[in-house]
Order: sequence, then structure tokens, then C-alpha cells
Amino acid sequence: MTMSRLRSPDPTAADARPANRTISPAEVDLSVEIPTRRGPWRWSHPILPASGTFGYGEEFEPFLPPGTFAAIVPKSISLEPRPGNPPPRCIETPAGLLNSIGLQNPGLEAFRARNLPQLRRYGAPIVVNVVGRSIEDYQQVVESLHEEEGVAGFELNVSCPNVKEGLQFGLDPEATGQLIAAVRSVTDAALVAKLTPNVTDIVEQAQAAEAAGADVVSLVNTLRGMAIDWRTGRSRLGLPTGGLSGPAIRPVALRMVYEVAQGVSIPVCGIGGITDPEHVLDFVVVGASIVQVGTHLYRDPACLVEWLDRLRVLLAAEGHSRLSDLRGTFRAG
Amino acid sequence: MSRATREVRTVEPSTITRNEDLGEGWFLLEVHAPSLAPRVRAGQFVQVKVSEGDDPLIRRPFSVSDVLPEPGDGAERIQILYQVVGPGTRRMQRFRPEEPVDLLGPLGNPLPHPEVPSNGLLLLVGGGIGVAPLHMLCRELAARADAPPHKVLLGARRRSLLVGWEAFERLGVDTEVSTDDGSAGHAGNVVELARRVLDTVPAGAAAGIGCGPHGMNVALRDLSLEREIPFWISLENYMPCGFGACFGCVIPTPDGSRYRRVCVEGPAFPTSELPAVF
Ligand SMILES: Cc1cc2nc3c(=O)[nH]c(=O)nc-3n(C[C@H](O)[C@H](O)[C@H](O)COP(=O)(O)OP(=O)(O)OC[C@H]3O[C@@H](n4cnc5c(N)ncnc54)[C@H](O)[C@@H]3O)c2cc1C
Ligand SMILES: Cc1cc2nc3c(=O)[nH]c(=O)nc-3n(C[C@H](O)[C@H](O)[C@H](O)COP(=O)(O)O)c2cc1C
Ligand code: FES
Repeated sequence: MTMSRLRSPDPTAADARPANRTISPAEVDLSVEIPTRRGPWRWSHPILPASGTFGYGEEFEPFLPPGTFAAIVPKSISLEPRPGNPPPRCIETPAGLLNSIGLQNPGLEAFRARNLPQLRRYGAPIVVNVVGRSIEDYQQVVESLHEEEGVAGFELNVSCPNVKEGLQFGLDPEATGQLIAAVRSVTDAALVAKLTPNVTDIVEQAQAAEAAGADVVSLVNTLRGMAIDWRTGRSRLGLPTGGLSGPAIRPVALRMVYEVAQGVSIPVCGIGGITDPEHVLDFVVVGASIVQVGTHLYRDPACLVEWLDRLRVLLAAEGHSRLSDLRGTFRAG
Repeated sequence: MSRATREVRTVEPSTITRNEDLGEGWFLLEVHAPSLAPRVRAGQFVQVKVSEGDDPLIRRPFSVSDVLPEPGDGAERIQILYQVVGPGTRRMQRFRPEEPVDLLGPLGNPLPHPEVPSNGLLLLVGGGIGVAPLHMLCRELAARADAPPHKVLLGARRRSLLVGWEAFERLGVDTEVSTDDGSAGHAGNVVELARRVLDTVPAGAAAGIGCGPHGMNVALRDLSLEREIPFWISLENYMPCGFGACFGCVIPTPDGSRYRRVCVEGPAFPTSELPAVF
């Protein structure tokens, strides 16, 4: 089917494209449908901002209507406010960014009072990213927000490499499963389990999350890394290690999304180093239903509008009228 | 869906009009940016996309040193004074006139225009790349009939590194310089010079703004607190986004209870709001 032309260098093979007719970009359907326990998420396109790179939306108002994203994933929220890690918190590394922000956030109550009303104004569904020190923390945040207007679900950050407590859950499939199951026991809201790549087998983590009641798995969070100055023998960050994001991690993220998509039956959200609409399509081909864009938003905060047009052009040029037709079409052979 | 987009900052595809080698690793970049230029105030910065590829990845922040022909509504071009220090600025060195460049801005808050009595003095102390925002501030002050009395102090290791000296003189601003090796002006550092100048100003009649290398900023902060002078320091922390989204550019509050984002709350802070270590 769709990939047959890849096998033939013959330019006339274009005739064998799926629809066998010219498709105009305007006809291309980018919509996605993600089943959840509270009914499907139906979005006009698959692109979300990655938590922690989009602030709480308002920082992006000068660049684009934040509601242009399929849904908004604000920066991680914890039960209590967190001051975050000592600076320096970021350093650029080859084709990447190493950060140790430390989940600085105003905490649940300030989020509800100040950020949530603001986020609602953008009109897009809100997927609240939650981080906690204990299972009860996660449960409390989710329970207190799951009936709030505009909240379409939760992304449980079981993977932040910067805060010890979050890490435990993400590293052991049993602990990951326990966390998701515990949150699932208090809500029927949509749950996205955000996985860390800092494990030997990410598929195990994804399967544990699925078995425990996650509706979606998203991956990857940042890869643990270091940047040091050998002269001083010190880290270039305020902490010894940080989390790596950006194009440098894209091949790793793509491989992990590929493996996870084969190992679970729930939808997968691909994250890691996406800086171009073609990368979105790469993730879709290996099995992602939706994607998140992170670090790139610092460089091109307004990119989404142009990306949606380009996605349509790219798909039309290859004869695809629907993005969803491309999903999982990767061929190992 | 809310379509209201605040007209504060934009990503503006702009055209380079000049990229001049000033010697000693310093360059002057001038860019035609007609929608951005009229909105720039002294102390604000722009994020320059230094490469379309993945490396360097992140934009680089630079203070606007001037807008032409005049600050305000008619402004069409902006100038940036930059020093080549690493991969990003090495790329910028290769920028050529008529090429496009992608700027994001203006970002950050404008510098204040601190008022001082007519027998007082507003001291503007710059070192290294810190001269850029001060130059823009002098342009704004020059346009004011009621500008507070002000004086620029510039410091560098040697004469040839006193970037922008002539530009300040051309503006007709009272300027004094210091060099570590004594090759121009006061022999010694610019904070010592500031101390001396302040000795001549009546108590309670001085204010200041400083921008320079870290050591200079710390010494200026200490001086201002010791003499109880209202003083602002413009910081140049590493800034991945520059518009408040990443929380990567923070400094702690003096009591250490929380972190503030330098890009959206600064980049200049009153010295009373700076922590012991910043
Ligand atoms: C608000 C603001 C205004 C600035 N205004 C100017 C200006 O007017 N003129 C100018 O020449 N520079 C200015 N800078 C500094 C400038 O952004 C850096 O020199 C530049 O990002 C270096 O990029 P690079 O890739 O060449 O070097 P890198 O390899 O990134 O760094 C080389 C060296 O520069 C230091 N450095 C890197 N980034 C920064 C930074 N953001 N601030 C200070 N030092 C840094 C590094 O620690 C390293 O020692 C400003 C920075 C900020 C935050
Ligand atoms: C500065 C920064 C802060 C981040 N903060 C969070 C966070 O608060 N919660 C979270 O789940 N992920 C956080 N992330 C991880 C991103 O959501 C994303 O998983 C990761 O950056 C990989 O995507 P990218 O390569 O597109 O940036 C952060 C990433 C960066 C660069
Ligand atoms: S540079 Fe991103 S918050 Fe300041």
C-alpha cells in the first residue's frame, strides 16, 4: 500500500500512490481521534506543546493563539509549590539543550486560581501535567482538578529525571503500574503516562501503564546527561546532571516510540527533538497518534501555524489524504 | 478560540543592512526591522536565530544598542553590538548585508530613567558588552528636554577594548573611561572610577545603572548598597527562550525563597533585589 513506492526507484511509481489522483493540500485531513474513558479526544491535528516548554500558555500569546495547539499541556504541577533547582539551569550541548529546571511550579492551588482560568480562555482542551512525590500527591492533584471545566485529562509525569521522587515511579514497571492504577482508582478522566527514556526497557514501562489503566502513553521525557568543565571539575549546571532534549535525542525517541507502539494497543504520543513537520510524520509512521513539540518552541514559538500548512502539503505531495492513514506504516523489511 | 494576540513581541524576518568588524572581536550588526524597531526601548533585547540548522540550536540574546534613524515611531533599523565568544557569535560574524535574519523581540523590560535632582547625577556604568543597553538609554535621554544630568563611565582592560567610546562622545554624552593598563583615562577598574565620581555628588542625589561582566556587576551592587544609591544592574544570564517559557534564566530572590525569571522580570533589577550571589 502506501509504502510501495519506496521500493521502486522508478519515478512513474508515483502513479501507484494510494488515491491514484492528485490531492490538494486543502483536502488533507490531519484530524486525530484518541479513545479515552470519558469519550474520544477529537482534534483537528496531532500537535501539542511539550510540558515545561510552553509555560502556562500566556508566554506564547504574542506569537500565536495558544489554542491553535490540539490541546495544551502546561508545565508540570505538583501539590505544593516547588522552587526549582539552583541555577545555572540550562546549557546548550550539540544539537540539544541540557536542563535542570527542577519542576519549578506554583503548586496546585495557585494553578487552579491563576493559570487554569487563563488556560481556559484559549479554548483548547487542557491536559494537566502532574508530578508528585508520592502516589497520594498525584491522586490529590488529579481528584481536585478532574471535574474542572476545560480539563480534558492528565499527563502523569512519571519520568522527570531531575527530582528523585518522580524517578522511582518511572524506573520500575511495578511502581509505574502502581501509580497509574492508584490514580485510575480515583478518576475516570483521560490519563496519559509520560515515560522516561532512562530505562533499559521502555516497552515494559508502557505495558505496565497500559495494564494499570492509562489511556495514552507519551514518550520521551529528557535523557539524563552531563556537561562539565574539566578545568574546574564542576558541572556547567547547578546540579551534577540534567535532562537532555532537542534534536540530539530524536533518533532515540523515534526508536522508543517505534518499540512502544508495537508493544501496546493504546495510542502513543511521540516526543523528542521534533523541529520540523517531517519529523512529526516520522513519528506517525513508526506508530505515534499524536506528538508534542518541546525545545523547538524556544527557537520558533510561532511555528505551529506554518507547520499545519506544511503537513498538508507534504502529505498531499505523497498522495495521502489522511494523516491517520500513515500511522504505523513503518516497514522493518 | 481566543484570537487576541498581544502585539508586544514578534518574530520578524528582517534584512541585514550592515555587519561591521570593529576590531578586537567586536562587530556591529544593523538590521532593517521596521515593525520591531519602533517598539524597542533601552534595556530590551532581541533573540537572534543564528542558524537554521540544529547546531547552534538556541537563539542568542543581544541588547539593542541603537535604533535608527531615531528611537520611537519612525525607527526602521536596529543595531546590535556583539562580541565573538563562541559558535553562535562566530556564525553571526558571517552574516552579510541583504541576507535575511530572524529576530524575536523586543523582549525584557525597558530600563528605568531614574530621576535625580539638578545637582545630582545619574551614573551609567558599562563594561564590555554591557555598553550596548547604555548606549540606547543615552539615545533616549538625548531625546528628552528634561533628561536628568547623567554621565557614562566605561571600563576595559585596555584602550582598544573600549567599545562604543566614540559613539557616546558623538552623542555628546559626558563620558569618562578607565583601563586596567592605564592606556586611556583612569588607570584601574571602572568601579573605582565610579566610587570617585560618586564622591563628588551630594548625598542622596545619585542614581545609577550598570551593565557589564559579572565581577563588575557584583562590585557595583556592593558599592550601591554601601552608599545607599538607587541602582539597577542589567543581567545577562543564559537565556534559552527569552520570553518566560522555560524557567531557565532564573536568579534567587535575596531571601532565597523563590526564583525569578531574568528575561521577563528583568533583565535589569534594582540592586536591592539582587541576591548575595547572582
Ligand atoms: C539580555 C542579554 C543581553 C545581551 N546583550 C549582549 C550584547 O549586547 N552584546 C553581546 O556581545 N552579548 C550580549 N549578550 C551575551 C550573548 O548573548 C552571548 O555572548 C552569546 O549568546 C554567546 O553565544 P555563542 O554561541 O557565541 O557563545 P557560547 O558558546 O554560547 O558561549 C561562549 C561564552 O559566552 C558565555 N555566554 C554564553 N551565553 C551567554 C549569555 N547569554 N550571556 C552571557 N554570557 C554568555 C558562555 O558562558 C561562554 O563562556 C547578552 C545576553 C543577554 C542574556
Ligand atoms: C526546559 C525544559 C523544561 C521541561 N519541563 C518539563 C516538565 O515540567 N514536565 C515534563 O513532563 N516534562 C518537561 N520537559 C520535557 C519535555 O516535555 C519533553 O519531554 C522533552 O523536552 C523532549 O522533547 P523536545 O526534544 O521536543 O524538547 C522539559 C523540557 C525542557 C527542555
Ligand atoms: S529564558 Fe526562558 S524563562 Fe527566561
